[in-house]
Amino acid sequence: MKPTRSLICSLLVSACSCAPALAALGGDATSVEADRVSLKGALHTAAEHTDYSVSEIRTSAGILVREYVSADGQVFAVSWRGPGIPDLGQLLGRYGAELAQAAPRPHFNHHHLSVETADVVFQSSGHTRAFFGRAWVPALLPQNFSLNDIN
Amino acid sequence: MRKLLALVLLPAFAAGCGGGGSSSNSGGGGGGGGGGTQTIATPGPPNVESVSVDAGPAVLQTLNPPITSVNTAFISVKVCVPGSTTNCQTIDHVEIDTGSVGLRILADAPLSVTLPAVVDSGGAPLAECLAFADGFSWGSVNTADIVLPVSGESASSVTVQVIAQSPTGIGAPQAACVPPANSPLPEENTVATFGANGILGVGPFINDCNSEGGCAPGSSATYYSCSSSGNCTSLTASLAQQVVNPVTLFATDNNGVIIELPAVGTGGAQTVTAGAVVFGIGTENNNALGDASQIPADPASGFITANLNGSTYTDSYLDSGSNGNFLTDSRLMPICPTPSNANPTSGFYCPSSTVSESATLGAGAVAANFDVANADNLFASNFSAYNNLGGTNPDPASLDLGLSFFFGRNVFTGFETTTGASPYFAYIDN
Repeated sequence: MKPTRSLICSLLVSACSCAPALAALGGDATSVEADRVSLKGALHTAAEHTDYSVSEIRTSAGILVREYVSADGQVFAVSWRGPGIPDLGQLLGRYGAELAQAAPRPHFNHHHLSVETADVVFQSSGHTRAFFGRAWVPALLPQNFSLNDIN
Repeated sequence: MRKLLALVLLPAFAAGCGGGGSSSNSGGGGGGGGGGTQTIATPGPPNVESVSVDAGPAVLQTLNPPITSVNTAFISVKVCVPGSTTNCQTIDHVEIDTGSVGLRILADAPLSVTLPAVVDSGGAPLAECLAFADGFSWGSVNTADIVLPVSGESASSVTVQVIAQSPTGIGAPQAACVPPANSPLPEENTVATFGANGILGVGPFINDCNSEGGCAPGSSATYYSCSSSGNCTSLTASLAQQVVNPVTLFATDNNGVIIELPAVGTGGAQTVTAGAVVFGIGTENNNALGDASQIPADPASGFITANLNGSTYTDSYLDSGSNGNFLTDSRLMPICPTPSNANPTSGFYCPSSTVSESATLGAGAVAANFDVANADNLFASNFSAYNNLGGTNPDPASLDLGLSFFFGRNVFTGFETTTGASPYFAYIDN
């Protein structure tokens, strides 16, 4: 079943006073809209591939967030690129807590962080003005999917 | 149980002469030594600072288990109350970082000097939430006179950040700077969690947020003004309010920095103390570009372009604040199994045997060769300096050459200027 996608929208919406129903990673496609609202962003484009689609949210701070949605309608990966780091508590959904638990103790590299659990992989990098990071759920990846496509 | 290992003296690096000014060294000239022809300036006035790649501030050894800093280059910085030459403190183990911008000191270093606050138009003190890729640092925005103790380079009324300082009433970290319980990016507001007593960001930009002013909330540098009750609200910061690259405020030698670290062998070194940080490019007799080619950096992002294994890596960088070389390359797999006491950080590569990489940088295709060895084998020595540490990079188009790449090379970071010069990198290979 193809995921329901928000139509291309150029409206910037102020934060909703209600809590988003679902957060992104591992959530279903409707959580993409919840993220857009929470991140105060505009949904710019969606790209369609054979087994998945990509929705893009540009936050008010100019960070580009991508959400990768499988044909089953699940967000199997997220990425961010821009001058800062978006709200990861929102973006990582139910995987955030276990990543927080698993995060290594002081690592002393302020420009790279990699955390991996049995369920999820998280990678963050960046220097002043330019950050990039991504996270994905290996069990939810489409067949023959290249990790290089989470970019 | 970590073994104490004797200091390994590495042969074959050349400590060249080349300190300028009133010291006994004349400019130029290369040292001898087997095979190496690297010229490392001698610390001293007017523009050469000592640098040490070592285990880090003493408190790290008191942690359980103790942590040995790896591939972090430290200098000392003296900060003074503006206008004073006596109300000062020299802070050791300040990380020198070409990947960030601005001087930040941890309040629990401890910082014993009370630096004046930067205030907004209403007199309310400013605070900053600074995001690094691995965590968040919250602290007051202050001004200081800065003196580099060995070179004597100095700047007045520099906007700096004091991490976790709240005597000016800035209050507890604001929500955006306290990662929620479900985020893997922690607070880094203590020496123990930050890994240094401070950080001197000498990245190729003048200010940490942007170059045109009007720094709106949401980037990695978000500014707040705080009431006396400790409530802080985000604000759009002007250029003057942003934390600044202190080198850009030196009277001279202010257009870039050169990090000059001697080579280490394939097994690494316990410490490297014979290096130098040189301020300025082409301003003294010891900081000419010489044969080094400029590698242009994108004026917005600072990225340079690299080529490796037939692919173009458009988001590349030369980052002294990265503790290895970070890239995506299946030849370097697998990633080291985690966790281990020797390697609390995940994401390093553990190939079964060392892999040699041959990259080129920039349109001029400057050769950039490096090795990636098995990280867990390296960490068994508990050294602080390795030229062959490699790790994953989430951006498939990024080759981030960190401090591993700097050993045996003089690496130049050229700053943007207010008169329109674009940032660049360069290096001299040996």
